[in-house]
Amino acid sequence: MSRQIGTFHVNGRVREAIVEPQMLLVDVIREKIGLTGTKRACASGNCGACTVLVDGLPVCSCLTLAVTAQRKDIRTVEGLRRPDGELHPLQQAFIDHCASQCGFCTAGMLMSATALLEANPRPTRDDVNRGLSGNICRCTGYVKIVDAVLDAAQKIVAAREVAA
Amino acid sequence: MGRVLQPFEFVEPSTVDEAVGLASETGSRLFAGGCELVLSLRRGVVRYKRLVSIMGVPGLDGFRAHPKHGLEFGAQVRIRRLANHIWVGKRWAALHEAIEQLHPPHIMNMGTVVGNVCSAVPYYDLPTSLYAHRAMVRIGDGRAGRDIPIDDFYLGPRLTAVGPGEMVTSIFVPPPAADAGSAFKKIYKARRRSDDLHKINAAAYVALDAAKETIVDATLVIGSVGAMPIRIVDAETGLVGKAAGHAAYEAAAEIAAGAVAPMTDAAWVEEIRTEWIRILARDVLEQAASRARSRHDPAEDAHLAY
Repeated sequence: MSRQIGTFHVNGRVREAIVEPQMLLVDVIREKIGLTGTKRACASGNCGACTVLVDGLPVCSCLTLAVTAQRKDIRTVEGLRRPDGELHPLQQAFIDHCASQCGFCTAGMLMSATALLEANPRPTRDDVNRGLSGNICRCTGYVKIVDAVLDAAQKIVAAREVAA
Repeated sequence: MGRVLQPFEFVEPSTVDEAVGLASETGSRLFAGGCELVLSLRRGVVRYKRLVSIMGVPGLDGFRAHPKHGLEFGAQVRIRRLANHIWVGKRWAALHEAIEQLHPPHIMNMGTVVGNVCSAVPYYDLPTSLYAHRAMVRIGDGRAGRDIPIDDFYLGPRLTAVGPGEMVTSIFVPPPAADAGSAFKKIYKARRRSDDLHKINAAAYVALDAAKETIVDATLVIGSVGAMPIRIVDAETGLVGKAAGHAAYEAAAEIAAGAVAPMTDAAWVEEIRTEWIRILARDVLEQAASRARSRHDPAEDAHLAY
């Protein structure tokens, strides 16, 4: 099994790409599928900038072989925005709270926060700190990021209650 | 660190027999979650021509956790599965704490516990906690199997008792005694030399008698101090029969600090390291005993068992 056509379910769409066994998921997502929102930084599973959701759980795409992620549900930061163009509440909260400065960690932060809010819709400040402990930000000092996630959590819950 | 990995072949067999056959060839290696392996491949620490994924083999995803019958998980069980399990948190607290403190938390969703144990990296946390729980490693070749205690599993850095044509199919962790508790702690430190390790971890298991006053059984393990975690047997035997209290833990910690071989040549670094080992050993014993004392009757949890 060397060069092959890999099938990836990215953000609800089926994408095919020519992959080799040694290719990493982050490289396939960025260079073959063309979704460059996911960042490649430390490439050793320390910083979390490459976080994507595989089957709903955050993983480091820089430590995942692309062949092992085939036919699994992959979500990247590009899949957060609604089809009509409206930003996800988390993305809007990041803007409102000025939670990104250079922006390199933001995609990973958003994906980790998405997984956190899906598992725990009403997190405490400690829960958010723990949920984002695998993501490193060198600019903001985390306070605004945590504020943004808590704000987004409130808005998502409020919107759900209004709808219900 | 290279930007791309060197080319290799990736195969996904469907039986244990086939997997161990493919992996026993030179340049082949079994592959599960791949966290450690992908990182080592990129760093150039190891080089393989073929990776044999076991994630498609049926029958290796078994998971069972019962307070009376023990904890058993197959080679495909990811760490997340244990992290969220109520019985692992209640009865195998050292393992639970080691999992909780994994960094980054993403590793829980990617790696398997068996893979973490089998990579035999001296600074990993889960083996230290499994030593404290006296886990048994089940090694199989697709036809027969053998159980070995985790104490005999490691032979050296990146070297385990798994022979050619064999693989670890599951790990069994025996149930703790009725009045027992366990704990895990770690401390990070600066590396002073290339062969030094950047942290020390410790785990303990303490079983008390029915009155919860005397220690009847104990395990004390210090990890990241050599090629593999070490059990401080002298301290364990010294604890048995003693009254559960600070004096007993201090004495055991003193033995632990003396039992661990020096790793650095600078005397002042060694002094700090010994002190940390002493403090960690004392604290895990105290925490484990405190959990043993506060643990309520398992019958009260019966409705939670399946």
